[in-house]
Amino acid sequence: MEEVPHDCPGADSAQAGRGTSCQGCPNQRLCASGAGATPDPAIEEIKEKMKTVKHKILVLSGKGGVGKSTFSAHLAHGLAEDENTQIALLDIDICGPSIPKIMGLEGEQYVEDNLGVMSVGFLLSSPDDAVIWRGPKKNGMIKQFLRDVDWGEVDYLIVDTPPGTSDEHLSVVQYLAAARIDGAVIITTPQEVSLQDVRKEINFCRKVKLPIIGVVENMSGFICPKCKKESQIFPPTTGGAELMCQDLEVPLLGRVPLDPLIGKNCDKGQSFFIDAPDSPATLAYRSIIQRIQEFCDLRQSEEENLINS
Amino acid sequence: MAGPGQRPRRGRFLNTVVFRVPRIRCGRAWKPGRHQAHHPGPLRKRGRWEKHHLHGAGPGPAPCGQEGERPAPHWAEPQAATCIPAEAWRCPWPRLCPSLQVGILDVDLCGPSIPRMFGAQGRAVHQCDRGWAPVFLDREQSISLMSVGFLLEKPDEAVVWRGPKKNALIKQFVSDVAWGELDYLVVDTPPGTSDEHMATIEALRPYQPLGALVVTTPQAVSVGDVRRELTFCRKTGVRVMGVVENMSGFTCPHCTECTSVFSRGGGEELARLAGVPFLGSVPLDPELMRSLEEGHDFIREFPGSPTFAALTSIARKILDATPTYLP
Repeated sequence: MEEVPHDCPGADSAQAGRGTSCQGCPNQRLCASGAGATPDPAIEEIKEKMKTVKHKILVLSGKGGVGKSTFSAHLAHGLAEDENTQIALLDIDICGPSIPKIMGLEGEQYVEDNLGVMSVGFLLSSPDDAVIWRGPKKNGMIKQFLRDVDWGEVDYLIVDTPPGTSDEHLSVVQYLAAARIDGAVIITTPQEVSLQDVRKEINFCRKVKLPIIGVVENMSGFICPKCKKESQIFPPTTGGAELMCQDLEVPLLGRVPLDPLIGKNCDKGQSFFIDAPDSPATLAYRSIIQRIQEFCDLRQSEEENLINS
Repeated sequence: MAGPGQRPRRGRFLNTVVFRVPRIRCGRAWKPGRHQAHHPGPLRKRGRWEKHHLHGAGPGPAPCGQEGERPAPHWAEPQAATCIPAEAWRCPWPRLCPSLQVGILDVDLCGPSIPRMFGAQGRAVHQCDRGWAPVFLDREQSISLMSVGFLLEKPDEAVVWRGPKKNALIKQFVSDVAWGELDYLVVDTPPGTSDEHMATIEALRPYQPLGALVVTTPQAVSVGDVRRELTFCRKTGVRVMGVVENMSGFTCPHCTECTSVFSRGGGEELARLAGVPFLGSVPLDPELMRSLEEGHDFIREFPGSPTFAALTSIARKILDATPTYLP
């Protein structure tokens, strides 16, 4: 995958191949011929590949550090507790692939028999290797993940994304456009600084016609292990996710409190549910996972009714 | 790339973001001799502002002019959503060195939090003879801000751009903003090692950045990502000024028990492995969070807090480590 010029107008723009910044680019002739404007054949190939994947869920957030990867990993763990369900977890955070560490994987792609993981982290030879890629190269990798990975029969494909609304998000929505994404789960913390970016994320979802399963408020309250009293480390100064969800008419799937054991288990690469089955955070996760499953089942039955009618 | 008043191309997934930047006379007051309060020697003569003032980002005295050694902007890599270090780092500087002029450049185009954290949301960017005027926080113009957040028509508008468009805007932020006379330019970046980071380095390279401030939380998962950030700095030739560990413990307000909410020790371990200075730890502090949310000056309101002490200590270390300005 070659690097593109820094001021590349984009392969699907009107100036593709004709702009001054296109001079010297190896793809100039291709873009000028209008080939960039035609639909990517990979989209159809991915659609074929995704026929064996029943439900596709994106995990998004506007802000970094809100617990997206942690949530994705525990969503995968929670769904995989049913041995009859095949789960796949795809990490498209190319620059910061934390899923291998959170899932406790060292070169292995299978956590359990029914839970498989794919991440660029597996392709790096050293934990210090940095992936310093611009957008087009990242898009190529995401295309490969979706098209060239043998997913097999999967009930749930969970896609963990980097924060923001950028190349990776556009690409994954574009490539899965024909394959039908069930919906997006958006993670936030109670702070307005996080919520203001989540509003942008919700706007992004609406713009690209991506259904929103709901919002999860993470790090919502902390119970002191000594005195058992609750504190708000990240105070919801503007009403938290609940008020935002009411304003934007988006479901609030649940609130997950801060539990130091979550961080510790992620560092060890274990499932938090096993270490702390009675923690309020575990109960919150399980309730949220159940709501996500209900949403997916409802969508599936609606589509089947539509096909049959 | 849409410049002021220009409408960008509409792509399939691109929203139309029109930047309307009204034109005004730029009334930046120049203060000759301002730096001499801190620097006994004569200063290097400042030429065009673009070339000489976009350097020396970091707390400390005015940038140096040592032969063969140039100051440089530095930026912090926020690893956690909840406390962006730019605010934290800028807080102590004006208090430690009240006559410093500090600029904060927010290159997190998808999640621009700087305007809110400084209580400047809704402020507008105006165009003057020398370019886009940054948003000043005070009459003394000691702190100036630039963020895509000021350029959006609606605060909830998503900036859904691919790399080339982001690169172009970041270049404009560096070259077309009338920063004026600055001692430091602090660049707040999004997580990762991608377009924004590369564009920032390329745009600032002619001004030879002072270095990078790398922020992590104590967790191994965070450290695992930040190790790659350090590699990025090495590969791009950016000096790492140090590692800061954020969200390092929480003291319960009810019983004063300190809990390591996000594990412990990751920052120090990372700094040791990478052979870079460990600058300090900043605890989880709901009052800091609240101040950032409401755009208040945490340093002014809570000077007795442990968080203030931590931030000031880190700022002081960077001040002490900054090369001094020589005649």
